[in-house]
Amino acid sequence: MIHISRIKIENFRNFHNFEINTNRNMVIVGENKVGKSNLLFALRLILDPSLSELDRLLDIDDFWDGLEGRKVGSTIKISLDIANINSSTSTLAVLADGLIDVQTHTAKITYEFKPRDGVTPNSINDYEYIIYLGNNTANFIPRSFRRCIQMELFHALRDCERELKNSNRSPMRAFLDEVSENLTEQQKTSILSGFQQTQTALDSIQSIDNIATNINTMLETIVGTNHVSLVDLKLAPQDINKLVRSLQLLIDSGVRTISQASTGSANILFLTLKLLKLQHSIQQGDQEFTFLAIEEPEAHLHPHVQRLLFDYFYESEANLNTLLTTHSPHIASSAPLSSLIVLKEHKDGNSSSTYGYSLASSHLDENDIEDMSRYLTVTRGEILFSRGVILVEGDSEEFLIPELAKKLGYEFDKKGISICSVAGTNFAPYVKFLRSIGTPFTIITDRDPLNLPVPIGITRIDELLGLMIPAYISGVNPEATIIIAGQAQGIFTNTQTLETELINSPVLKIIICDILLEEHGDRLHVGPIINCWKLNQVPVDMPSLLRYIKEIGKGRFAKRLSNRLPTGTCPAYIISSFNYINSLT
Amino acid sequence: MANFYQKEAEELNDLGQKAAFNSAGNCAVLAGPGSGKTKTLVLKVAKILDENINEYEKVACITYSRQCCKELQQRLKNIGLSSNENLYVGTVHSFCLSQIISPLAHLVDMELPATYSIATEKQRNDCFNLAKEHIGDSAKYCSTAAMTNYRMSYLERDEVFNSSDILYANLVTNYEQFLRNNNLVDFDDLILISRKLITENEWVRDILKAKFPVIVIDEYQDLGKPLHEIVLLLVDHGIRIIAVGDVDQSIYGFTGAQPELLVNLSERSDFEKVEMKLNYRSAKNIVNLSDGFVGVKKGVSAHNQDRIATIDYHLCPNGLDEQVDEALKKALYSVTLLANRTLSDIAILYPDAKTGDIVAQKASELGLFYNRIDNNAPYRKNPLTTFIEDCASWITHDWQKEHKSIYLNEIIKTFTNLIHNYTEDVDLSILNLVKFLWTSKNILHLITTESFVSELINSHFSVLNKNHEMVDDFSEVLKMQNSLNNDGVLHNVSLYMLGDNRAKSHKLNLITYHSSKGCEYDVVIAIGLDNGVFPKLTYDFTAYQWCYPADKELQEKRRLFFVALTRAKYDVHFFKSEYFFTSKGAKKCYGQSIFLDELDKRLILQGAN
Repeated sequence: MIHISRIKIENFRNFHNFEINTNRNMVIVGENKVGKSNLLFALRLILDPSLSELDRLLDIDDFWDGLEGRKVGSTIKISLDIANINSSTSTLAVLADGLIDVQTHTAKITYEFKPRDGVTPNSINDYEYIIYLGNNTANFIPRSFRRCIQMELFHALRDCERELKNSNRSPMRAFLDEVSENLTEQQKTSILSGFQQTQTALDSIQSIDNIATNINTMLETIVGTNHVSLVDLKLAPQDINKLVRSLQLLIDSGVRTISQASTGSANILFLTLKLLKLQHSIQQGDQEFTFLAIEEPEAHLHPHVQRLLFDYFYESEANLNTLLTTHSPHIASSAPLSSLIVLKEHKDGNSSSTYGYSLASSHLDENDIEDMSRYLTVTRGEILFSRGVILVEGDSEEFLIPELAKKLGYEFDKKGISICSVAGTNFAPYVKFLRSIGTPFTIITDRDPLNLPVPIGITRIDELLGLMIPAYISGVNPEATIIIAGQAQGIFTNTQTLETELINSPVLKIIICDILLEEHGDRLHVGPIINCWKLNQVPVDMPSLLRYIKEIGKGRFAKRLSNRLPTGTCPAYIISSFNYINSLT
Repeated sequence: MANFYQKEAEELNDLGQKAAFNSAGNCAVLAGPGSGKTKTLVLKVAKILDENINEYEKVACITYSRQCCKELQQRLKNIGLSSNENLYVGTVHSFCLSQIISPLAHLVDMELPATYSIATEKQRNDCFNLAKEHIGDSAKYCSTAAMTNYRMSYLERDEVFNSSDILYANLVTNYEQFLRNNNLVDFDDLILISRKLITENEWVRDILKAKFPVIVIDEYQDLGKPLHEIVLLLVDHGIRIIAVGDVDQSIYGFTGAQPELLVNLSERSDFEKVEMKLNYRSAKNIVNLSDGFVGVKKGVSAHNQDRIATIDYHLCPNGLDEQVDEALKKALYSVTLLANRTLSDIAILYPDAKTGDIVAQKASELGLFYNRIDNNAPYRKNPLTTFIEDCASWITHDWQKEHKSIYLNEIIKTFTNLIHNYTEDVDLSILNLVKFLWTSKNILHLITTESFVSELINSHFSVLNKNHEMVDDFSEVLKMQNSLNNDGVLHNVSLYMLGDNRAKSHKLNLITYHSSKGCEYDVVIAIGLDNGVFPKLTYDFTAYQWCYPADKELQEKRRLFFVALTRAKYDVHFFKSEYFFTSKGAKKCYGQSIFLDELDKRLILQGAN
């Protein structure tokens, strides 16, 4: 199906030099003010038929701020690649002049806000805009383009109730008008006579008549007879079309109007009607293809409904591409991975600009995507919104590391840094994923010697480095080199495992032994052994320690430990990891 | 609009016009002279736009010459279809360039330079001469016409191309190479490249079908083999083709035109064949004489049943000069025969531009103004020279009283189209032009034609002069300027005369047989009807005598005679001397033109009936 396959923006609002590859549907996530709405507006400059000439004539404020004094003289350029334009003959006819690639049937459309030809620009008044196809700036879009391909935006702050009531803008209008057009004369007569009857019954009520009379009298008293349009109090205008238009949607078996519905229900109803209307106008041939952009669909919807609604969009077969902007991890996490677009702000000269990361062109293979999708669904997609991520192996780390950080004075929550457990040691998909969305990360992993010639943890780091450094060759370097190269990339390791590292601290050793004793103290053989460790009578036997912890449950153990952590006992490799991620965010 | 064209269509005749108008699929319309084919075509286009085209699609109306294209545009404008977004009207070359090559060729490796321009006449000649020099003596006597013919006949660059005529294959290859080295393409390239793109890429056909589900081609008999191949490919791809033409009027054999291609098309099972059999133009006796003059008799009848034309031969024993003198006298006399008839209703037809020189010279001596169309004309009609004439027309004619003048907004529109690519501030240029035209209009009695045209060129056209694409057209503007000089051939032409180009003007038409195609006149006066002049004879070295050219060549000349004969609404006069001079100046008496003999035979037959 036809879809936008690439977006490029230069010098527009948040965007200096922005370029992303995209898929059929887009779910645009990013922090507030990063430019999500501006990205949609950039698309609308090209695609939305409802934008006016004045809207398309931008202003000096629409230039990227990093241009500073060079705004006048610069050009704002937005271009879209649209793939599979041969999906229908109409889109092919309209877009063929913009063809830039034959294999993918891709056409390019560009909006440019630029100084008028031959004029040395002194102010924004010397600017004009053009929209052209392909690479030829004289190849303006044909008039039929606006009808063939459209974009519609549902604003974040939409007032569905009002939209539904406003008869000119309500999506119901088209359906109702079609009804009145197709009424037979007989039907019209019978409707009008029935209406007349009700009206006559109402007219015969004196008190209704009084109201109108009172209003008219008052009007005349205030402004005199010359300026008054006298009023009647009637059920509806007596025109058959207007009568049909006055039909309204009711809820709860016709007892209540929509204004009495919850905002959530009104929103769903509104979106549903809009969709029906889109389908209708596509069937009528009024348009061929629609890009439907919805800002913050989560605004008024229950999380569960959010998912259901947008699952519908993703799977819809209609001639429709959906573009969502969202803060909601619920929507982000249920979106197909390839539709995610993450916007991030980066330093750019003396200013900052927004970069886009999309998974449409990432190196994730099918298994990776499955892994990541599962992870995102379970964790509700939090890491999509993170500024930095600490990747850890399992539950123990997930419990202990935040506490360790807090004790060191790091406020990761405030900084937007998440801790993410990969539940095992398969870091690879996470590494690929985070690199694709441009999020910095650090990895804390165990060395796991396991009596192997090369510890398994070192092999793990060696392989990860192969993913992260283009020229890196895995399997040839000695351990020391791997560790140093790993640290440079933010991968930190210990000598054995987290627990064994912790027990090396005398203070922690006592706390750990206490926890173990609380669980195992009553056991005939075990209790005394732990006591001996605690009293430094024998060195701690690592395999036994790990076994005892396992018997409690690593997570449970970590949770208890995290509650009692003293200050200043964090293992050095974890501190390095904190410093690393802290410096990058 | 719908009502308008439907109402007009009610007047179409049952002798072919209605059938063409109502045809539902592919259609080949065989339309003789004066059959009202353009009218039918225009209404047909309106019908297709109304019934078959959605808002994303277009109908392409393609003609072979700029002149036909202009005529078609004017006629479409008359029924309100001038600015329809779903209509493309253009020459075959502009269609190939704007709809196929420039949007699509860069997507495949076509061995085209990254930027290229259309070669001017001079550049084409230069490249041709370079190619000849490069090959050496063996190519010394090669002509452009023969090379063109070879190039447009052997379309695939394969063994057949290389071996059929090694010399010409070599010449074509070198010529194209010289063009490419200078980042140039010529008009034939546009067609050959388009053909290659369409033949080799299905997606190109898909795009053409999406954009142009219906293509109407006028003057189909002028198309050569490559264009015909394109048409067949498009038909097979599902594009609906409406081809209109007249086999009998195929006179461009030297550019590779093949009249039988239209016949082939009309005989295909997926084509409806429509013959138009009513002649609205000519008198009954001319219609009867001309029907079947070239090929088979089609049974054409005349609309003007009671109009009988004078068909006269005039012998001028003193030769060509006498023919010209007599022809001019005849022209002046003919004007007086019918009230309301003016000089522009009369045309003197001659075989070549050299004869045209004599006619123009003698016409000037008689104080006549003329409209001359041949290669030696003071200037050729093209968008630029026509624009200058229109400006002259606007400042000298009262647009309220006479229906002769052009409106200022049309001038501005044309001007904008001409300059918008070459100037930075279009609005300013328009403002200056309008100021200049108003000033000139106010001080009309103070300015000369030459000063007006010079100022127009120097102050308002100068941007065009610098542009490569305009070189050919602009050189005609300079020729126009020169001929209006004190010592130029048009020095006595007033601004009023220069702009007097619409119907009923006082300019006599001087035109070659070739250029007269597509025109019509009240009275046709043709000169040079002698064997050796028209048709030219060839010397047979074995029989020591002058002979008619080969059958195919003679047949083409016969069609040319047919064209001349069928231009007339009323009378036709033929002038002859019954001898000719060889290139060495020897006088040879080979009698009147063979075509007059043939006409005689038919006249006798007609008399017998």
